[in-house]
Amino acid sequence: MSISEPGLAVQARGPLPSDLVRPERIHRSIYLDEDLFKAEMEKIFYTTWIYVGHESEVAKPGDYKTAHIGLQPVILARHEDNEIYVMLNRCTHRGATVCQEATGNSSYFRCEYHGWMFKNDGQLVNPTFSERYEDTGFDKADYGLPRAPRVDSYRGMIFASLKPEGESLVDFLGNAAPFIDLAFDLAPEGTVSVNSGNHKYSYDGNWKFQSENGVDGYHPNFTHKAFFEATGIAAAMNIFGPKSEGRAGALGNGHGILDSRPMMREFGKLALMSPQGQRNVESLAERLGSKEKAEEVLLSGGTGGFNLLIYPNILMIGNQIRVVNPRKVLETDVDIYPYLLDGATDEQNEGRLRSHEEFYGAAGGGGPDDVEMFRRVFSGLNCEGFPGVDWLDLSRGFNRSVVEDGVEWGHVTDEVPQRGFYSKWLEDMEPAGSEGS
Amino acid sequence: MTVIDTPVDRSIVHEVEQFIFNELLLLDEFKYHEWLDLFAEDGLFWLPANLDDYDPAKHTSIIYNDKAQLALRIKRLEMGRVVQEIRSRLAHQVSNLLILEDDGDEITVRVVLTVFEVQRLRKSMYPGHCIYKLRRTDDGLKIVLKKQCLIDNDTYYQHLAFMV
Repeated sequence: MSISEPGLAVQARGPLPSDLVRPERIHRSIYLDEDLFKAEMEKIFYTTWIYVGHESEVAKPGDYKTAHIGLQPVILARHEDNEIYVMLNRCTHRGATVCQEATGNSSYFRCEYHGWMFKNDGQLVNPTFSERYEDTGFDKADYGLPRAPRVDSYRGMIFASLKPEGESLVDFLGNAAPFIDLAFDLAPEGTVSVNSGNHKYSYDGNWKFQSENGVDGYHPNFTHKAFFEATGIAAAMNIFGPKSEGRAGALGNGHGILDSRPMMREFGKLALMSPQGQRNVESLAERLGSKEKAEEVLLSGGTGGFNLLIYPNILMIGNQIRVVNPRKVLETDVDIYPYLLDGATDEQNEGRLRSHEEFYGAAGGGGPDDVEMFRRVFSGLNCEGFPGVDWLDLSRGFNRSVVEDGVEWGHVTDEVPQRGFYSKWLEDMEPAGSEGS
Repeated sequence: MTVIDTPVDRSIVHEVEQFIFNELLLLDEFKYHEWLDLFAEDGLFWLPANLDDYDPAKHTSIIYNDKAQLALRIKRLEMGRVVQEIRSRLAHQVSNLLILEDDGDEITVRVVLTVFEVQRLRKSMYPGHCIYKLRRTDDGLKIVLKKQCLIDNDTYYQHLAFMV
């Protein structure tokens, strides 16, 4: 990949991240360059906190789930000691994965290649036919499945970091955490369950297409026009229209938000005035401590009132947790997990699933239109050699945002979250003091 | 699953076959309103996600639509939404028809169904089986349930935004 902007003599050494990010635009090689993709794995996915699953997915001792941290297959398992361990899904003998299922329950993982058996906390039980390892210096204590050095959870969301030291999970989540609270506080018991299956889709294109798109408030009225019009919710178009009171924010640490609550509040207030609405406020206020807090949660409708991007690859939109899995520089798999509210009625939870399916998933009324746009961007990114075509524009509302309590806010259609994402991306990819900074 | 153990009247098999052939032809020809008319008022189209069977109140589906939701789906398709701006061309191929149950009012049928799809230069196929519950009415057979179980329902799709 060459960079054709005059003055950037970078071909010999390959592009540096700082050559590719400007405050209000990014270079197309951010999506296309294989070396950058490898660097992203190392400097972002194998460094920062990455979501691997939810506690409800491994609720009982022996429960396990397989996931990925970047490209690396991992297992998260709840051991008999009730601790959740996150370990590499890789036999320490010759490298085969030891767990094949997406979810299950087992106290042991056995590699089928040569029969090595591991406890679900990662310890090697014994190599098979172990007498031939005697007097070879072999110590089984050295052969456990390597564990993620840091595992922590927030409101049941389990994150792992492959870096032994760094900021705590709660510091990393920062301004994103209160939005996770708003989403899960909607559950009468304050917790959610992620055991309702998932939607899967993939696209040819870079993983960042999807991370950015989840907090892009400029696209819905165009990409999803048919959904809004067919469904007859014309009001939805005002949420992402030029006169919207909704806001787009950069929460810091690369996290982003589309906050459409200002536009939902009027509808929501009417609903809260009904007898059922009042009962909901009162029962929630009992748990949350105040009526104001309960109203805030109910008015935001879980994540109905906002789209949250947790850097680098998690979206919380509607009733879902969405995981963006980078596979190759131009290959991405996405898993959407709708979750249920603990303590809600069966009717409410079924309603959440049905309304989720209306828009999301491979046959949803909106999601596939985004995927089609990714396909078109993928094609358009091949253009080169003309002035400007090496760059993607993120200048909407640039220099017009305001900062409140550490959050940078712009109009809901502004590209504030995207600029915040790439500013953190650059910070991770080229930490201060490294080459070229 | 049990297959009906009494001999099935050939004429019933023929009637059911013709009904399903016609239903799938309407999809291939994008005649969505005629297709929707084949559903009973309480009819349901179900495309399970991840597994072939579960409680749809507890587990998400790729499609779980009553007749009103299907009408909305059709409306979107007819608007030529982004993902179907270039419309997918379809061929529904059906075989291995078994009558599973016939209680006089409703007939339950299992078929093997493969949908072939071409959009631009991309060719896809979606094989699986389909359970139909068909109700005898004065207006002919009506679909009470069409449950289409794709063998790849736990894999990553590009999209299923056409009428599978």
